[in-house]
Amino acid sequence: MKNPLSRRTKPHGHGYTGLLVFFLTTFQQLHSQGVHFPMAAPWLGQGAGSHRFQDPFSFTVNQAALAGTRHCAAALYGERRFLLKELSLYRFAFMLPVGNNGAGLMLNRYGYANFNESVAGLAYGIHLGKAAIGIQLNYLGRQVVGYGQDATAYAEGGAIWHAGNRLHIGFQVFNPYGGRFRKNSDEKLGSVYTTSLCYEFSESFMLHASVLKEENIPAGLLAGFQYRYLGQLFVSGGISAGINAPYLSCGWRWQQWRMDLTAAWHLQLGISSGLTVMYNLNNPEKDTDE
Amino acid sequence: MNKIHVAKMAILFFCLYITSLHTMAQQEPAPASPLYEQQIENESERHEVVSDDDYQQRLEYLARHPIDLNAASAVELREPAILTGWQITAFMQYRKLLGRLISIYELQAIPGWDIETIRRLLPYVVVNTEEPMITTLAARMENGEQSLLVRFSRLTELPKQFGTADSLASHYLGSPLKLMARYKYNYKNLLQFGWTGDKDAGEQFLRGAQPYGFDFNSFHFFARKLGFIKSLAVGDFTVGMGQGLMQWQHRAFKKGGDVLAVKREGPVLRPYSSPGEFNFHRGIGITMGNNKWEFTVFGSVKKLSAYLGVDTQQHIVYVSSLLTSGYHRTRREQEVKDNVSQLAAGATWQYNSERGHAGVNMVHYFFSRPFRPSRRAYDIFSLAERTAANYSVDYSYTFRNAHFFGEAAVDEQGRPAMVNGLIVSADARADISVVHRHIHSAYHSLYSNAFTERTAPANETGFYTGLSLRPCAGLQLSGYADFFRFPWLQYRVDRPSEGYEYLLSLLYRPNRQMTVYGRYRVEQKARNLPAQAPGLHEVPFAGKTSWRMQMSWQMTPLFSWKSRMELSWFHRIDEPAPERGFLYYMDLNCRSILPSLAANIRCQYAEVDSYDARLYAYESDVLFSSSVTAFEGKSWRVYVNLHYSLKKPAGPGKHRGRVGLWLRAAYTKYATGFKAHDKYKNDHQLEFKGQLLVEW
Repeated sequence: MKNPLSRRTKPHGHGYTGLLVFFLTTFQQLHSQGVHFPMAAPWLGQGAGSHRFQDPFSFTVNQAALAGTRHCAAALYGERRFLLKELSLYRFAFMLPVGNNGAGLMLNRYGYANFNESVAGLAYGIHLGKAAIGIQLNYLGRQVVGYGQDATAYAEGGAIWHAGNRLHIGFQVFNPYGGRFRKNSDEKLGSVYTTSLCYEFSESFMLHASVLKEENIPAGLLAGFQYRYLGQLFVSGGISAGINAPYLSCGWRWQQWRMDLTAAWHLQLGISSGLTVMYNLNNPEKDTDE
Repeated sequence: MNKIHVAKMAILFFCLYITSLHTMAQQEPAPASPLYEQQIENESERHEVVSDDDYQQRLEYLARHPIDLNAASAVELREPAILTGWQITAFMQYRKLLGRLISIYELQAIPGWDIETIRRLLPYVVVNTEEPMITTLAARMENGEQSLLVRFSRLTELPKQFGTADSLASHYLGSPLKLMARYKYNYKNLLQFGWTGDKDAGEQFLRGAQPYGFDFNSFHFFARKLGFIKSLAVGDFTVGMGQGLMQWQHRAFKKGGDVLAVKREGPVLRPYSSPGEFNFHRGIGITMGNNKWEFTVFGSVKKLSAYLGVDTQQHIVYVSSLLTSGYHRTRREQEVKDNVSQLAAGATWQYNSERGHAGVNMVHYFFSRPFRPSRRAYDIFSLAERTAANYSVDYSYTFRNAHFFGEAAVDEQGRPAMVNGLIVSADARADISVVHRHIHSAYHSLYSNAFTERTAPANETGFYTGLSLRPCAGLQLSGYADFFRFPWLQYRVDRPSEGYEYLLSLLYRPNRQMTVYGRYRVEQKARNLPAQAPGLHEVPFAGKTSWRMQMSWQMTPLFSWKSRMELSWFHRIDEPAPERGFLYYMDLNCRSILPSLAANIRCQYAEVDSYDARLYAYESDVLFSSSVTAFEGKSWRVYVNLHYSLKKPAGPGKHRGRVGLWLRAAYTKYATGFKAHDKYKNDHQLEFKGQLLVEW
């Protein structure tokens, strides 16, 4: 199947650049936001919609990214927020192609023995030509010493439009309705609405930006870049404007494995570090489209 | 085959070569474009109630009876309100030079007609190769289309005024049902007449103060192209003169996403069949003339509803304020219904040439009671007599790629107002618009609507510049900057003040199915600080910033999807943090989920800190109706529109025999503890709306 992102297709460079510059330069007042996102590696999954820059975590950002899945891959991420063990986050993602569509599994754990939240989710993405949609069903369990256990189920879904071969625009909604806990029904998960934009300047360089709005919290901006050098070295950087925390990561790929070290810096709370390990069951070096 | 024909064929083949053929095929009316949605939302932000559906009626009729470009006059080309004055002039010159159009594809060869404009115009135009027929008035009385429309709507959670004691002044005397009916006869827009009846929620029907039925009744008779008589209006009609400084009752937009829509365009007279109860004339109007000269005269006698005051010293009963909403729900509102008579007379004389026109306009008003402004400082220049008058001259002229226009007006006291503008097609990919207005602090006019920051043209000086760029195919960058000053006080602004507004927008169409729209807007104006001691208030600047991202996609010929995210920030100098607003919705449209059944559904979430940070969203509604809802507080909203064609026209090109049923249900749930402006008893609202349209 011909890769719709073939290099032979000429881009509308001026148009896309203008679109991206416009998108990025209008945010000057967005503030804090951050829930269920890897603080040290917010770049994970931001290549949703892009075949070149997609990673196994892409569907956790926008479930429609599964529709572009061409490889079976898994990834594991771990971080320590502000270098505190009690604020550790571990995330596992697995994706596999299902015909023109894709399916994914996500496991997430945050916290420590006295307070922790675990999430398990199943996702599916459907390919619709120049667009894609996806949905994910999740189960969240919470355990707090002295409080006991509680749980809730919630859904999230998204859509991606491929406005050309290099520009991808996404909308995603996390828990649009419901998400109330079983025991304490007054407590619910906040809804999160996201608009994202990803532009591939070339096979090696990509810019992305997202606006996230969590319920009852001011909107936040996440913007950054990803750069691949010779297909083996990876550099990502950007800023989570919502919490004023810039981040930087470096990675290396060897055959089917890839590992990234990542760190983010919060002005008051300090550094958060993370490590990502990805494994691609199909050797991407053999992919003629790249 | 003459040389002109050969040249046109060459142009046509060139246009076909450079453009995909199927993009120019006749299309059904497209859903509302982002620019049109913005204009409606901006209008609602100013007026809060938009009841004039004349524009929707015109577009819907033109979609079924498109304008023949080979026979259309400049006046007819203004009907869709899509083309600028320069584009119309360019078209007329092109047609005069090269003769009748051969094909719709030829539009691309007309100077100044960009692809986006053509795309918007296509549903409403056609190229006929046959010579147009000329019909007599008697012949038009046959074979026209007749239609009957009945619309109702009702809220399930009623405002508290329905539940209060009957003796209270605020109690609504009528039922909560809102009802509208309209009958219309239309022969190819050459002859139309009809009746409109409207009952608002809370007004009585067939009892009490309205024993004969509707609270508002409107009749109109309108004919065009009767030889020397260009148009004849009897009954209810609207008048538009010049650039709106003294008289403009037609639908017109102010600043918005279409940065080139800065000029008032349209015929002087138009029929009126909307349910709005204030902005029209009632009497007779006639336009006579030929291709060069045009003379319009009209007379109107109408009743107005006004709150009256009594000056016991001078024994005068005066008008303290007009009731323009049209509501007659309470006893007080019924008592003041139609208690003031208005006599209006006006005339306009125009000279038209190929490149422009010049006009002289006048209008006089006589009221049965004098007006008296309130004692508030900002209101001292309001109308204070039993009579009012305005006089103006207006012009337009096209010189090469530039189109000049303007109007200079005075009121009966000689206070001046002026608007001058320029639209330039600087390049095949760039257009510029410039408008300067200077309006005296004390200038006043009735039924006016000029291109100004304020709702009515008065007390304003401003300079507006717009720029529209098309750097590559499918991409349009637009922006405007407007600087304005108010030399005198205003409502909620206790000092002379100034302000500015910027807008930057991007419209991107990568293909026929997809549209991406982004907009960034900044506005700053002075505003009184609230909650202060009586007297003049401290007046700092307050600014509002908003950002919008919108995406629409025609997934299949039947299904389309649209999504929008919008953020707003309202800054007040006395508050450290801005007041924020957030709106997010997703639309799913289906042209045919079942045979003859179309549907549209929206899911929306809004979170807005305050009224000042409020956000507006254009909503699909039943035919001829548009909803724009302002969102404040935290809410979830879902609505569903269904359109069922009970009976379809007999075949292609046929428009009679249509029977359509529209149903709408809109549910809004407010966050716990928030009740919409404390108007309703519960934290949710459900509205039902239905409409039946029969054509024969």
